[in-house]
Amino acid sequence: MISKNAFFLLIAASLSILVAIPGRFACGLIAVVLLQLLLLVGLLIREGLNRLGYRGLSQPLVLVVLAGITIFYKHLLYLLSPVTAVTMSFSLYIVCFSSFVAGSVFADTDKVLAGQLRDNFKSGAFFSLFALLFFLLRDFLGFGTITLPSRTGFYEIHPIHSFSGAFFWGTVPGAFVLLVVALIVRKYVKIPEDGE
Amino acid sequence: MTNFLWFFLYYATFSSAVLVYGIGLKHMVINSMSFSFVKSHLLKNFVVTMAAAPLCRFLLVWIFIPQGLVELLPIMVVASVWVISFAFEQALRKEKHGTTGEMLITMLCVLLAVNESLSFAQLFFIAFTGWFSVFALLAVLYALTVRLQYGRPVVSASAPDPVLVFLTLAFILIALFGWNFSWLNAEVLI
Repeated sequence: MISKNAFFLLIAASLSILVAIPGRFACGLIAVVLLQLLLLVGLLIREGLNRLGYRGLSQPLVLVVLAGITIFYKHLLYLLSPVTAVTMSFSLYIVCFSSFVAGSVFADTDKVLAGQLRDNFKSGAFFSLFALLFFLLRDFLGFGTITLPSRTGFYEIHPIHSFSGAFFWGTVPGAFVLLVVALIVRKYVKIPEDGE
Repeated sequence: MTNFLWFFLYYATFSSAVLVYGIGLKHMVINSMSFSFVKSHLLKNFVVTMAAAPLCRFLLVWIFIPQGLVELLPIMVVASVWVISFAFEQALRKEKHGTTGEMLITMLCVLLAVNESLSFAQLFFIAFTGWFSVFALLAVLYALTVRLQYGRPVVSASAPDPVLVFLTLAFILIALFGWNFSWLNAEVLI
């Protein structure tokens, strides 16, 4: 489990993803899949360029590749779920150019590729689980639904039929308040940390 | 004039590039303890944004749209920002290169400006307002962290509790979104 300080840094680095993306679970799911894809491909491309001796050019070239992957992903989304693609549109580029992706891909480390992939997988998996839970909560509290991407828009599941949610939790201020709750929970809940 | 005032208010407050689009949010929270980020990077990143945005729009309107390559806009933005940033550093003989994080803020500002503008005037205005909202919020957060430090029993140099910083950001946002009362009355949406 990551430490309290690392948890805060992770939240700070991923703020743009958690706050700026529409508060539906379907959008969160799509963003998390893109994030994992960018982390994996970005690290492999950067390592490949470093081994070929293009260390000085790796930053712009990797960013170009990441932007290219996002464009491809967006077009794939247009085919599979056009409404979700239109809803997310600019948000997909926020994932691509987020501090979380840049911090993970361009991390200054002496570790070999396997070690870097392991580290990225660990932080990426933790963040993905957190983000999915976060979007699930926003969707349920804000709209009373759990949404999944579908060809005609969002496929909605109503866990409690009489509950329609309070729209506030689906908005940007609502996302900030939920993040505060997450930080408070992490602050006061004792979880064994690495090395303890 | 009213139109541009509306643009400024929209991108600086109601739909702030930082708080709603998430541009530079991490830098705001991490760097809210000092103004060194502003001093060292304000001029360079602002100039790069104002130079890259018209270049991207020019390329988009005159080359990419006629050729049907609009979707390549983000790649063009990355390339333009990097080339202009590199040229700027060489011209000023800066030994310290900018971090990837700063470049990402610049890229998102340029992308937002090119994506949402209909004319060159709007383009400059959105690009300017994007950076304005970044630095305006940084000043607010700096004032806030100093005030929070004074409020502690013993004045310490360490950063205040991040929970308080986040909570205050949430309150600022609720105040900015005060015009949007739809969440108070969900039935109007049905």
